[in-house]
Amino acid sequence: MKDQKDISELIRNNLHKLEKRPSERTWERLESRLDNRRSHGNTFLYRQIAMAAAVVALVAVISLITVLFDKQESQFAKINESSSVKNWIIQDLETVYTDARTNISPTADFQKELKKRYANPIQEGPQAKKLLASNNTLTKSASKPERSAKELKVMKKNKRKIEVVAKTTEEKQLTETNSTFNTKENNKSNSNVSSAKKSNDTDLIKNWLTLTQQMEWIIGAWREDNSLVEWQKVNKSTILCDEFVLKEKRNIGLQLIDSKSQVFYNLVFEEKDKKVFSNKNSDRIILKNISTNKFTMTFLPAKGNEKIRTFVK
Amino acid sequence: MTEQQIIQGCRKQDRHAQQALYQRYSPKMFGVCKRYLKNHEDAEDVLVEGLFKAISKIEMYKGAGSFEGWIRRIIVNEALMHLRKNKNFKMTVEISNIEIQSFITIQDELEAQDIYNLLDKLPTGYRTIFNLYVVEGFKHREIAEQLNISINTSKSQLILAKKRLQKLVRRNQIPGVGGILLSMVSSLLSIF
Repeated sequence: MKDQKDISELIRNNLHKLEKRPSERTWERLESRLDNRRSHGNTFLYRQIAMAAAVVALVAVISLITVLFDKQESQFAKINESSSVKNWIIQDLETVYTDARTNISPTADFQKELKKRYANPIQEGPQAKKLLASNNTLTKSASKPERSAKELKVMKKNKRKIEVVAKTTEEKQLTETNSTFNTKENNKSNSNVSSAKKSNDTDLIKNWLTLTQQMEWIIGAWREDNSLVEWQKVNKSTILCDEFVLKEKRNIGLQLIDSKSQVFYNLVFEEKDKKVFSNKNSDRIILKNISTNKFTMTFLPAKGNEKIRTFVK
Repeated sequence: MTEQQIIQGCRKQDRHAQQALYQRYSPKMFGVCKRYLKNHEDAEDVLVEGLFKAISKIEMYKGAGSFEGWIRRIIVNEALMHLRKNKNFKMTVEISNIEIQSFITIQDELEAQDIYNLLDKLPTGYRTIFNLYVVEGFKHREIAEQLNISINTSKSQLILAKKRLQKLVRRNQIPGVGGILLSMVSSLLSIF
């Protein structure tokens, strides 16, 4: 027996003796793990590439859908419904309102107007801008036809430019409008008195107005039997009353929102003084401006009877 | 291959460098594994897993501290993970009941087998804490964190481990030089 030693120290001092080469297969196992990892690394890279490709594909599909959807909206006419009593069908540009039983009877004027307006539809850009570009009568009748043609080309080329061009032209037109008529109200009352050429101009200018601006005739207090509703312009793109909200949205266009049920009705058809909105159940609401102090709101449910409400100022 | 060359090579995933690393460090690290794990196969599993981690995470070694120490930490961690999977360290022992006697009379030299014999006789909890505290130099606080036990448990288990080791040594279960001499003397005495 030698010195007194702490058992811990004893073990610590003799640890080097524990060193022992592990069996050969240990290296083989380690090597195979390292090989696996290498292939794993590759698959990881592949996976990353695949994921990136998937994202790109998704974006492409979404943008394609958006473009197609936009297109459809621009043609706005492809509403195919199984015909029920109250259903009216707009199949394409040529066939309009085939159901004669509905209140909206096809008129020669209406068809003419429709054909004229959509003779050369531009397939890009949101609805409001599209109308703008397709209005050939305006570009032809404008004071500088060459420039307009150029503008049209640019519009077709570049979506972003459409906005810019449209804006500047719109502004120009609006200043013209302002110089001729002070307000839109004035414009309306004056239009009867104005010369034929002038009224023609105002019609054209109307086409340049945004959808919300086109709906401004609805603004004011209206009476229906014993109830009273008031439409107010809240901002550039929203007109509000107790029951409904008219809202203009990018890409979607004008929307009529039922305040109570929060159901959205998208604009599916528009004419000078008539706007047709439809929700996803194909219930339709038609706002029709009869005169400066009278308009009707027709509710055409997909199933059931229509309801017409007449509002007077 | 120098240590620096091994590290550089492993960073480039050079197989020769990886093998060189294995050749150089596997004996020592296998020793570490065997201290923690009774079972030879378990020790090998941990060694492979630990070295694999060290090689594949070589970028994480920034050159601060010794490379061997870095690998050892990985191996110890791996061993603990292995133990934790199969063993619950939450054992409580009343520390006041333990009498401390840390010095015993014993020979200086312990053979590798002696150490294994000693460690093998310890329950896993004792053995792990003994390894971590005595050999690796961890603090009780660190051990408690690692094994998810209280600091007092760590302390008491260490004391119990030492006590158990002393008992084992005293019982002459270790056939060291001293033990052999003693038995020779006693056998001589019995002859006379």
